[in-house]
Amino acid sequence: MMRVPVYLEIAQWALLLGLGSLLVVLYRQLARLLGAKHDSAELGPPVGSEAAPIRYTLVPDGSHQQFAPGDGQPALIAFVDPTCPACEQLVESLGELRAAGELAGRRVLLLISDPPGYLGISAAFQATSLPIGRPLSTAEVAGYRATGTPLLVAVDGRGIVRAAGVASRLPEVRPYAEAISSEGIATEREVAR
Amino acid sequence: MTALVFAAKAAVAVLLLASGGAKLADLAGFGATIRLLAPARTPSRVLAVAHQAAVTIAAAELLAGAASLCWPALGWVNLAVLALSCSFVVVAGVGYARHRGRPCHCFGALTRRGFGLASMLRAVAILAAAATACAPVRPASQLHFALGFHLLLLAAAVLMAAAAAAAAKALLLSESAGRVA
Repeated sequence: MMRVPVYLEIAQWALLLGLGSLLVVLYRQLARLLGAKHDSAELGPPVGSEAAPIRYTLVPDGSHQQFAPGDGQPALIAFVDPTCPACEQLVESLGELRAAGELAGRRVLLLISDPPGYLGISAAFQATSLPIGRPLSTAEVAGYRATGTPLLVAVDGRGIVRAAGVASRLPEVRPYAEAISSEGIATEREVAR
Repeated sequence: MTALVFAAKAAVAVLLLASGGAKLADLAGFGATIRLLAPARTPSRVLAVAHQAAVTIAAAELLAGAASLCWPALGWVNLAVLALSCSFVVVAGVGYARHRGRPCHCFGALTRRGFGLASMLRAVAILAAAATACAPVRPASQLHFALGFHLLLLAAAVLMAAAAAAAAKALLLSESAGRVA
């Protein structure tokens, strides 16, 4: 009978343990996904609801500002963070839309939860000319249910949420801009959640 | 004692294969962590190479893990793995001190745990295992075996890294899909 080296036996067990752990991770994710289908409405405010005002600190000058929905100007509120790669993509997409004139008449606000010092680590956040704010507290944005980033919320001129969800690439972001007309009156189009 | 050294060596090697493979599947996330850990006044042109640095680190982990697992008799590989483990402790320490709670992407998308005491302890445990693996094995002939066994281990190492990369990618995709479902 062939004698298997001890090291090979132990290595085999280590590999089995590693592969088994991966399997557990995948099964846990599967369970989360099955649960997420029921909980997907938990991310972002419900479409058709009234958007809540947000008090925030403008970065980097530190002045206190307020987003007041319903003032006649439609707005795109992006909940993003410089430590999130998909958020960087969203910031770039919004920048491209703005450069193409597709955001004319719309207010755009990037809201971060990371400390302002973190902006330096992201080229996209450093390069953007879009206003960046940090909510004064998490209670300010509780109504937006921003449990994950990136979250994009389109609010029409009357302060009604017209679209809310995850978006980062340009084709995903454009419908949010189109969901609110530049005149401040909501269009019929709503982004499917 | 010999079995303990073998177990430590194999465990760290498998860990490196899993983390290297998972990092390769989420280079954007790991690149963000590298930029996060860069000193505050790092020029933006240096930050721009974070992606390349992410590729290099993931590849280094894969190579070290594969070499350690498949050619256990190579003493210098133990030292390379020990050096990598030391850097993990430094990174975990800096993350714990300066960026507590921020995602570390140490295992790509396989775990969303951030920097904290647990990650620090984990890094120290890996370092301890890597140090244990450096202990000499007597007789050394126990680590010399036929070419077929080396190739078998290499195939297993590739499978492990590929499985970790596939799992990490699946998690990455499923998370974004889950949010918009």
